[in-house]
Amino acid sequence: MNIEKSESSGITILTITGRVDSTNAGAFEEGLVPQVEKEDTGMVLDLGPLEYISSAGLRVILMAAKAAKKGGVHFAICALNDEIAELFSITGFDSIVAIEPTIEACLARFEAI
Amino acid sequence: MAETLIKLAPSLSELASLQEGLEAFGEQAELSLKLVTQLNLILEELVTNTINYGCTGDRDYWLTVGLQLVDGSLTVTLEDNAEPFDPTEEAPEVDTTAALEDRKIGGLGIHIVTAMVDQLHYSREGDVNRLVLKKDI
Repeated sequence: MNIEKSESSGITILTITGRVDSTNAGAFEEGLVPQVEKEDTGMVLDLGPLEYISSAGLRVILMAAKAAKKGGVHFAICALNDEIAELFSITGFDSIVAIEPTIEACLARFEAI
Repeated sequence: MAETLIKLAPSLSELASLQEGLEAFGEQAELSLKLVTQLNLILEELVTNTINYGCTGDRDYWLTVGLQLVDGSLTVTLEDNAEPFDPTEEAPEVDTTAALEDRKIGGLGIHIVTAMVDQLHYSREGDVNRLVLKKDI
């Protein structure tokens, strides 16, 4: 699992590559949640290169979403593959987190708010 | 018909072996990527719970995952000699319709499992926990 940080118009983009499961969810949490907590504008979680995520990883995403809401920062997730999209649907995560097909769509969404 | 038995030591580092075993079975049984991913999710949840909550004493713990595909029906049998633990009974309810602030951090794992299988049956036979999952594919 790798987290790569980039930026666009003041919005932080974190691109997640690989797999997140019980063995590395702790590292995922350490890499993601503090970034969200210190964010002051908005964050896009790009899951394009993410192959697999289990409930251990979803828990971390939930923590990140809650932290974003608490901090009043925009938060959206993009580029879910079909299997991960299904998982988000089964767990109801698709109703509590903004999901878009691309980074650009997330940025446009933040602009429109 | 396709069949396999995966043996695991009680350590989360074994999840890699589990994944390899599932992928090999997926090829043997010609399962879709989607189904193999679902099996990965289901078994990761169950095996992780068993290791974290059931393998807490000093015994030599073992876990096995049996998979069998017969006539479009998949049966997964998990057995272990860990502490008695019925994942179907002891997990908290998850409200997937709750708003973000109200969503609890835990409990997702077993919800994912029950959403992805058709039947789930737990029994305790002597010192062994036995969980049988069935899914029509």
